[in-house]
Amino acid sequence: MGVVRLCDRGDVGELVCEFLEVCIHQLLCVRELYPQEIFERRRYINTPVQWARHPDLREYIHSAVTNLQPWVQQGVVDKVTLLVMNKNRTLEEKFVFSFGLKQLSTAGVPAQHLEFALRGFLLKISVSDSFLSPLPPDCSWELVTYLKSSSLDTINKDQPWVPADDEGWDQNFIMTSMKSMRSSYLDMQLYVEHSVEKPTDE
Amino acid sequence: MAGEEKEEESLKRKKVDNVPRGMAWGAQSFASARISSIREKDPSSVSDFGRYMAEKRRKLNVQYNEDSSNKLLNNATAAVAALHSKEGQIVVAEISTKSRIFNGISIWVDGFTVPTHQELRHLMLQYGGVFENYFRRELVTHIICSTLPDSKIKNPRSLSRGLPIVKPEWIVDSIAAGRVLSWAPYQLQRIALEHPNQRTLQSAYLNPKLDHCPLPLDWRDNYPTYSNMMDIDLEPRSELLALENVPTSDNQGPSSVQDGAVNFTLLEEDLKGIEVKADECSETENQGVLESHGKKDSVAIVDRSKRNTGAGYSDAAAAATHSTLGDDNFVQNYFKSSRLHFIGTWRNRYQSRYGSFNDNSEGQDQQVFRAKSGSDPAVIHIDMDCFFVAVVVRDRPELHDKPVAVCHSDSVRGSGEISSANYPARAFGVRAGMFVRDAKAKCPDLEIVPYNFEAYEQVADKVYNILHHHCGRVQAVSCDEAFLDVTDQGDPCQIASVIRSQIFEATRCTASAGVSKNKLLARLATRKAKPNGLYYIAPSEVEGFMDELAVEDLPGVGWTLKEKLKSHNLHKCSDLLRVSKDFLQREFGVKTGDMLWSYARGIDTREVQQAQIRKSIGAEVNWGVRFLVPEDAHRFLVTLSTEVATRLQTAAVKGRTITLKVKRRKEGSGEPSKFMGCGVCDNFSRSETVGYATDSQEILLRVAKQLFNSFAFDVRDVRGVGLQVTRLEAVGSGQSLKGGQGQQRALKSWLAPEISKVMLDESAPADRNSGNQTIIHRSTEPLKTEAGESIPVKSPALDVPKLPLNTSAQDNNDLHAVFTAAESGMRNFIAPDTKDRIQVGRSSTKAAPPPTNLPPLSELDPSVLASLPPEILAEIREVYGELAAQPVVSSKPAKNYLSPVAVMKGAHKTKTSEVSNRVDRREDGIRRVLPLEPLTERGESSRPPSVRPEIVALPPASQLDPSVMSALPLSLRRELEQEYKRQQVKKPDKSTLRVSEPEKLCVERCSSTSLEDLWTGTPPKWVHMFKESQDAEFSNLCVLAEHMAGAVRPFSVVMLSVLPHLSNACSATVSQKVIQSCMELIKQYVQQMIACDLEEVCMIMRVLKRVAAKSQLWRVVEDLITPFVQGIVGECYGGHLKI
Repeated sequence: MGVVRLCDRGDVGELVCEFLEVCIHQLLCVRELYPQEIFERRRYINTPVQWARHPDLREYIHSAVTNLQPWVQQGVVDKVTLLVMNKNRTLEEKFVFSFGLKQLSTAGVPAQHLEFALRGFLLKISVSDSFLSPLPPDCSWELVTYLKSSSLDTINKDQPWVPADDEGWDQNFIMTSMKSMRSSYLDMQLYVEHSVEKPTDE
Repeated sequence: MAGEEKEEESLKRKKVDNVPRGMAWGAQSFASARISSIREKDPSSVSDFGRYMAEKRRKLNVQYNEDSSNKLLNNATAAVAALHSKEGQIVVAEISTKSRIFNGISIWVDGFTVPTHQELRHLMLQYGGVFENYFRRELVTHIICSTLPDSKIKNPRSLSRGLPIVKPEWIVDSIAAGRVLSWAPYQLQRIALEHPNQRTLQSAYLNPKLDHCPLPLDWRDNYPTYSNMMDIDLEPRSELLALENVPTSDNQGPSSVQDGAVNFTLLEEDLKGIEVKADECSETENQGVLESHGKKDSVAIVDRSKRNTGAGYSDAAAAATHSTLGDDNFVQNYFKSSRLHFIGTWRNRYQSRYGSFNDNSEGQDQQVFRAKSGSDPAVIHIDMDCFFVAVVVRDRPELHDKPVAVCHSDSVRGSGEISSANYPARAFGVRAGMFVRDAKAKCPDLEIVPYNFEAYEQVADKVYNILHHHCGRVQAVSCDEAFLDVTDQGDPCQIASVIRSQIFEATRCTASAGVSKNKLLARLATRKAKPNGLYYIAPSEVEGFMDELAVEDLPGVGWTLKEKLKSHNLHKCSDLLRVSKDFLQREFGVKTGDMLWSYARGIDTREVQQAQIRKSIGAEVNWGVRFLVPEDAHRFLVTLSTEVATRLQTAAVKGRTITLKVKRRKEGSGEPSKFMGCGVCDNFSRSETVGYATDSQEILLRVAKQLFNSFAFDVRDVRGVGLQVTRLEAVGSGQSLKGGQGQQRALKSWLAPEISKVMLDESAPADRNSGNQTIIHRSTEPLKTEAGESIPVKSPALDVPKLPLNTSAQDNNDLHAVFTAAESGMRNFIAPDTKDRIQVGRSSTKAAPPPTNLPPLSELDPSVLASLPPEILAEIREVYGELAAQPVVSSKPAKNYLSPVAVMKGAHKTKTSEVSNRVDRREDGIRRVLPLEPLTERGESSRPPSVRPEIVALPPASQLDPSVMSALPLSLRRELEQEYKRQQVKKPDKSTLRVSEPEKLCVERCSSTSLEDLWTGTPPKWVHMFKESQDAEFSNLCVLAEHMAGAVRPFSVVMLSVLPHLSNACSATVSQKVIQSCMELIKQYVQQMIACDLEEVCMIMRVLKRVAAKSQLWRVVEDLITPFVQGIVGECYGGHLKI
């Protein structure tokens, strides 16, 4: 595995998935869900990112995201969320990547454009601890994807993804917008939902 | 005169001083040198100087004209042109053809230019233009200059006096292109930029003068004319001006005059499409130009059709005075001179006059009466002979026996349509509907007279008095035409002739009468009787009469049907007798076939009807409707809705369904031949039902605007707009005029002591409207409360009535109604939404509910129940298991996800859901929202997917109308919001329409202030709106708009950049208007952004917060907007945005 530099023809779906993978690593690191030692610094689209070294973890993230790729390309994915739960398995934080992959012109998108836009997300993630409160110890996390329709029929049997219960919030929650991008080929947003009770400010 | 000249001369002097020496042509010439020395000697002697200038001009003209014939110059100019144009070759080629593209253009050069003064002069010489050494408003058509000093920039009009200021490149490029290009792009940039108002004004009024004529070369070559300003004469009743009468002073004369090559017959051919008029300005100009050419007349010709397809719409300036453009009273005036309108309003009058009389005398028992009478029916058809003409002519004896026609306009162009012609005129072949010019061609002596509506009214009243005197059953077809049922009243012919003579005595107008056994035959007889006659078709003669009749003579057979019939070889009624009814019905449709079949046999079962109950009131304008920008259309809608509202008020009725009809220019069809007519159009109509009958202009306007916008047409293509109100109710009665069809959803009808009706009305009237069937499932599983869900089964609606679109006003009103009901303790009233029903349907199968025809208990109104007779109540109790009479307590849902739990909410929510249901219906069928099945990676977290209908009755948040929400009491709203949030989290709704729905409603809601769609277009609409606003109040927005204009940055950034201005610019007093504008601006921006750019929303709110800290205005705005933004975020994402 490892960070792959983007190929020139710039398949947006592929790039988005790749980018997601990086973001997940980055989030795991920033939110300190794993000890800092397991991360190493790498460079992705010219931005320093933290990358987990543990092969299982890598494999888990990678397989999750790569299996998502066809859906992303089909445009059925509405959002991908990273749920952070405390040891009681109640939701602590929910990072939401919401996508709107638009109709691509045949000419394709210059990869640089996309990369440039995505860089903002990575930077924002790296500073997210400034507006999020520290997590309690022993948190776990999982990835949940929301599809635009229950297009279960399109899901092939080999998919490692399984239907999930929606781990919703039981009460009001606060959402903090982290980054949004709008472009002719892709709308993407990253925001985090967290519960009200916690003192959320610095 | 002298003073004027003086002023002019002083101006000239100034100009002369501005021009660098040696640049002005002729400065070195002997004559001018001599004279200039005089000038230096005695500059104060004005009279001398005036003569001097006149002399100088004359000499310069002579020189110029000599030069223009000087072939030697050609080479030099060719070189110059080649030098300055990109396509030198073309220029050279052009020269050889000696094109005179600048014919009619006269330039004056100011200051330093490239190419120089001299070169420009050569070019103008070469290409047939005129070069003026001295500026004179009347002579010059274009000012050429490259730069202008600031003082002139600031007030370009003082320099140009309204003339276009153009860069010299215009000349060069025009030569290169071989035709006169539009000067607009060559306008001096600084002027164009700094004076947008000036520009639009100029382009509107001056453009057509010279620049709209990218005339094809061949056309111009053949007819070297001044492609000068054309304008339009369309004074509806302008006096007749003979064509030869070359206008000298006023502005309605046609200045279409020959110029050598143009001969008039050719013109005539073109004239159909050509509207010619010289307005004051172009008139003098033409003359001026011509003077310099030593010719007498000017020709103002523009090929209209070519122009219109080519140059688009902007010629409308010409039509400004007579289209919806620029004439605020257009609608009013339109209806003043519209014959159709007269006929329409006359009917009103007639009805109010005779309607009551009819009711009293015979009224409804007409049928009974008819059934009893055994004798032969007798119908008289009375038709005034060329009513519109006759009434006018009777007071003008000199016109008797002369061909006369009535037309709204007797303009020389003759594009008015003749509405009626008398018999002498008809003998010439003049027909109604003809253009005046065609009619005049057929009958040169044709006298055109205008309408005299008062006289028509008087005559019609007299006629109807007579008719009603003779007969109780009069069906007024129109002001000059009526049917009388004179069965059992004696000899119908006798009656008819008495009537005719009385009419003539009373009105000095003749009437024709047809008498027969039914309306069809009576009408056909009248045709035979005309003019001024009486014709009787005895029952025995019917067959023979009909046999001879051509099919097109049958009423109801128009051109299309005639052609169809002809294609089947059916020419006469006797031919129709040969074919079977089945065949006719198959070929022409059931109704038409039936009609043809019976008409051919002289059968007409229609009764002579008394005044019919009017079903609609409206106004339609499809003449002169031209819009340039949406604002024009909206302005027009204002007047139209006012007109309709006035009519409603006059008729003392209110209506519920508002229909907007729009005529749109058919793709590819050019300008109609009838001046300002609608031409070939596609017709569209949409309607909307409001919650209660209205005659208010505001509501009409709002709905009309909304409907108009929903078409999303290019307003420039709109050729006609009509607004109609149906489902009328008499004011005060509250009763539908139609009556008794359950159309009205009043509380009263809810309370009707008939159980089935109660249920129908109770179970979401929207369902009923859209033809849905409601099947009710009742859960047998008793939970805390009795749970009942309705599962609507969509049946393909067979006769779905027009779907009412709800509007907020209606919502509110409905809401009020519901509140009233709620006061009496109505607690449970649920109209589940589609999606939820699907879900519940699923879960309720587990409970295996026995389907019944009853609405769920939850949908019953206790207040209704209370008012029911005891025995029915008992029955209901039985069915609902004794629960009916008790108020059902709302319960919080337990964590029991598997059982459907209906949580009862107040009636308000019901309303919301009902409202949204109705809105939703439009997309129903497409919008089948399936519950989302989120997927997760890890097996450990996969409980079986289950449906959790917590508050089943709530519609998805996306369908909520925020306006309804905001109208709810706070406590209820909170409760609702909480429930929504809960739901939101439980089952994220993936419908893409989520945002657009409430957004739309919101936008609609504010439409009354024209603050809609602020963010459409690039730059957004509001930028234009506020940038030009001179209102000091809007300085805030003005600043914003200026910065936003060219910006590609997001709004928040722009706002941030002008932060200091925003807080400074705030004036002491803050008007509601400004607050609202700011509100809407941000509101709509947020609505636009919410789905895709939360960050921007967040940013804008933060910026707002900062501004609010400094400015009162923005503080108010922030206070108002924050709840809204949080609300919409909640709707969209289910949380609260951290700002």
